[in-house]
Amino acid sequence: MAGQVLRMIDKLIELRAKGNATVASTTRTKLLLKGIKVANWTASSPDDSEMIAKIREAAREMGVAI
Amino acid sequence: MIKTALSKASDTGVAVADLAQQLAGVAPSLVILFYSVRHDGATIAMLASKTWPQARTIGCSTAGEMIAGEMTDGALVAMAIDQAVADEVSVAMIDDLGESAQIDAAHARLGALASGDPDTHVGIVLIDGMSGKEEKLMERLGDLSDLRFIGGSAGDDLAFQATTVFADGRSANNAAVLAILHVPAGFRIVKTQSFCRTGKTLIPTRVDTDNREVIEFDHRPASEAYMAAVGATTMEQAAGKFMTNPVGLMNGDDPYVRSPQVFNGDAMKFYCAVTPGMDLELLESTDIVKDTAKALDAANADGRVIGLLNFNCILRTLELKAKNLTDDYARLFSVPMVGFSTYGEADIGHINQTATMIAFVG
Repeated sequence: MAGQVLRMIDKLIELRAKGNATVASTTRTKLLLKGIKVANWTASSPDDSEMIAKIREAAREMGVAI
Repeated sequence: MIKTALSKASDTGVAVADLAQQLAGVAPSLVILFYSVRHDGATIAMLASKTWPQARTIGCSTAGEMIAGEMTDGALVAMAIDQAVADEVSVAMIDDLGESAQIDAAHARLGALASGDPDTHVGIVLIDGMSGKEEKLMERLGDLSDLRFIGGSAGDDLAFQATTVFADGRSANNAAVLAILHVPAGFRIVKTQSFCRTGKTLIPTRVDTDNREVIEFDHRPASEAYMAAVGATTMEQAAGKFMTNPVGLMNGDDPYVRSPQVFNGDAMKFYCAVTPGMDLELLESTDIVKDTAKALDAANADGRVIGLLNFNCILRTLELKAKNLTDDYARLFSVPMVGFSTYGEADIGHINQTATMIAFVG
């Protein structure tokens, strides 16, 4: 399987930003500061279990159910 | 209306009265004060509350103050913001930034403004600069809120002993003040740091996050890796490069600067936490005055900016002082501005060697 990390990141940003482009941008920065560099992940990136856990934790901290 | 004032009076009572006289004519919803530790924080807090009883009052101690046209030490500056600019203001203090810091509770006390429109609500955060808890606070605030919190870490004239923050008459150490302003006309954020990229990366592979220390970069002792990156042959020579060659967590081309503080054996202590695996790029300093002028011009291209709150890193101030450029910097501001030299800046996260500013528009 590939691309799960990007799908999870996109979902987290979509749910948090609710269509607000400014919030989407600041959410990306917040993820970067949590150690999740959005730009590093593509639809063909391998599913990295450590990163998947990190995104789940970030989503939990941000109150977003992904 | 936004009005600013500076007092160099050494007596705190005289200084606050001086500010009140200069700020006459404004019915403020918020008054923000930045003061040298030559003034007692508790006295400032009490006097501010008595002087502007109709307004919320917040502030913190500094490592130098600034107002449009002048950078000072040992003084007191203030900004009064009236209801036309900020028609609603909420304020909350986090009394203890220790392990059980009540960040969620303080955020809840900010009330309905905390869930306001991010385009017309802006946060201010003032943090005890000796607490070492800025990252934790900023991360949690970012989790809880979609609003932008801009601010800085309080200073103490480079004594590195004790700083104070205050809100509505109460002053504290190891504390933080949060404020949210509803600004119907909107606001802009200025974040400027004077560095260019070098293309050299350093990846922390062993880190003591709590102590803001990198033990290894790229599986090599941190000191050795940094020395190689800056082309230094001794640790002393490399330490001389800390101010001009910090590292940055790159957000596209925008660095979130992490400034080295000191070598601790072979480890490197930073003014800001770094986490393992974080791609850090070595940065090279450029021209603070020129870069700030460019950032201010971009923020005020339409001439709508009516006031600026400026949180300027003490390391930038020290560089400006060393180059005799403080007057040039202070003269860049053509609208009312106050600010202070900080022990760290806040914008989404905790950063170094940056100026973060709120530009209020009218």
